[in-house]
Amino acid sequence: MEKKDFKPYLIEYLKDELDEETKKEIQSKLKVDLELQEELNEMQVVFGELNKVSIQKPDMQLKENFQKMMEENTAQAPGLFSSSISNIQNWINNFQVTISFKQMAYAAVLLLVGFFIGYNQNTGTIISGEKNQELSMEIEELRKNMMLTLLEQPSASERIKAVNISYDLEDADPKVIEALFFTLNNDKNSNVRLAALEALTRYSFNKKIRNGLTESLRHQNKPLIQIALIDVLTEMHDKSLKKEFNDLLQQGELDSDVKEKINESLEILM
Amino acid sequence: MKYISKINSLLVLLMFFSLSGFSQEISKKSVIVPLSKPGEPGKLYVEIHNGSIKVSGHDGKEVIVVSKTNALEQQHSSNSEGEEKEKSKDNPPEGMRVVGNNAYALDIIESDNKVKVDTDSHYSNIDLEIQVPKNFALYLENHRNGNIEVDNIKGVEINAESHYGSITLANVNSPILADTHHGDIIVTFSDVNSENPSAFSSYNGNIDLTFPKKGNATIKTKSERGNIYTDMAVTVNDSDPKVITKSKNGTNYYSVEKWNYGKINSGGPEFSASTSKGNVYIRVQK
Repeated sequence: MEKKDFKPYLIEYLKDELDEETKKEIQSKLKVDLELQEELNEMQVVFGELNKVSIQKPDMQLKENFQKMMEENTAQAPGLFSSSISNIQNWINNFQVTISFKQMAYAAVLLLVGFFIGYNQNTGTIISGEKNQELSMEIEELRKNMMLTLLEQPSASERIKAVNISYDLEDADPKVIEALFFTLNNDKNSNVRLAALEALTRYSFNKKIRNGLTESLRHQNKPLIQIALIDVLTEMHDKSLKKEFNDLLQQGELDSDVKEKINESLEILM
Repeated sequence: MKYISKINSLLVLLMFFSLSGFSQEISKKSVIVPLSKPGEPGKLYVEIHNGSIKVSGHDGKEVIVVSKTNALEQQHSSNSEGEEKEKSKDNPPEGMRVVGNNAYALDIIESDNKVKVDTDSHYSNIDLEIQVPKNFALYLENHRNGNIEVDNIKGVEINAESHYGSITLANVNSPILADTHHGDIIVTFSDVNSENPSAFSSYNGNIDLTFPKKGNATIKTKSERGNIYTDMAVTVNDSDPKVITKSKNGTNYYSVEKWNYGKINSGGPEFSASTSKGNVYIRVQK
């Protein structure tokens, strides 16, 4: 039992780091305990070998290199050494890596669109009026073309989308009006035709458009659209419509709901 | 491709002969149409004059068209004169049975996954039951009598037009365009993720739309003589209606929009519902 107690002290004993009391104790113990003695001898051998291994001292070159690397790193890396500016820079660098090109393009488009919207709202305040007008005209042109292209889509839902774009157009562009009328008179889908009618209603103060709507009433054969057209036309309170409505009443195959509507409208127009 | 469709039409013809069977009151024709590109999205065009159209999505890779007619019965019930004559024709002479009237054509064309179903249903009432793969877009139209029913279709777009009939669409995705003069339009959406607008119009009928709980939508409703009802989950825009201002030659024009606006969740693509004499119901699934 006692022997074990001394074992941990052997290393310190060899290094001569023990206090006098324990040193004496170990020495007296060593004289009696052979096993402990043997252990001490073994340890002495190991220590002897260890001492033979020379400790390599780092040369100056290494130190210099390290210093250099450190300086380089602190210039780039965030953390304790870098300033707040390089911190942000680094954050941006990281950010660029994580977002894809598509996302960047999307962001760019959004930024552009946002710019144009803001630009439109600040008419005349940013750049001189002339240039501004030129730009907003370009946007108008872009919207117009987009609308005209979408109107030719095979999907009826896309065509309604196209009609809805016309609401964003400032002026009653002849091409747009023409396209809306073409849709009103020819589109296969009733809901698209109704949407076109509603878009055209905005311009109904214009005599030409009113005439176009009256003309359209003669082409329509679907009661749902006939009635919607009669509603729009009646709201214009144009007395000349009375003749038009009466003519329509003479038609043989008129839906009973349409007849009812015309009679109501004629009363309003009286 | 031409070759394939030729084979298809041959098949169709063959099936006509083999499957057009007789039953007691109704004459039934059934055609299985294989697709040029099985598994890929397709389109179904149906236009009939009299009769209902029922389309449902199935897991198969072909289009199955079943047509039924009860021509005699329909013809006479629509014929108001001569009740006695009708009776004598409807009750077969002793020892005889009715085999139905098979005198109608059912034409089916398949090309490039586009399937067109045509009938000459001017005089007889032909009901169609069509099964298509779920990823089919639908273009359905019936001019006079008959309802349109659609179930379980996830295709890109559904267009449905009727005159007297109602339009019932269940388990469908947006966008949808539907209109009928006299019937109701009832739609239950399973998904409204498409960014494209949907539109529903009726004159005498109700429009009843049910949205999925998580869907985002902007609702635009109008009923001239009916009411508009919405669930609590629909935020109704109570702000003043939109005033459109236009000026021309020094005269200002103001027109106030007739539409009511509302939102489901954060708002999204536009769903417009307009009827003159019916009601509009906007619901959100609980």
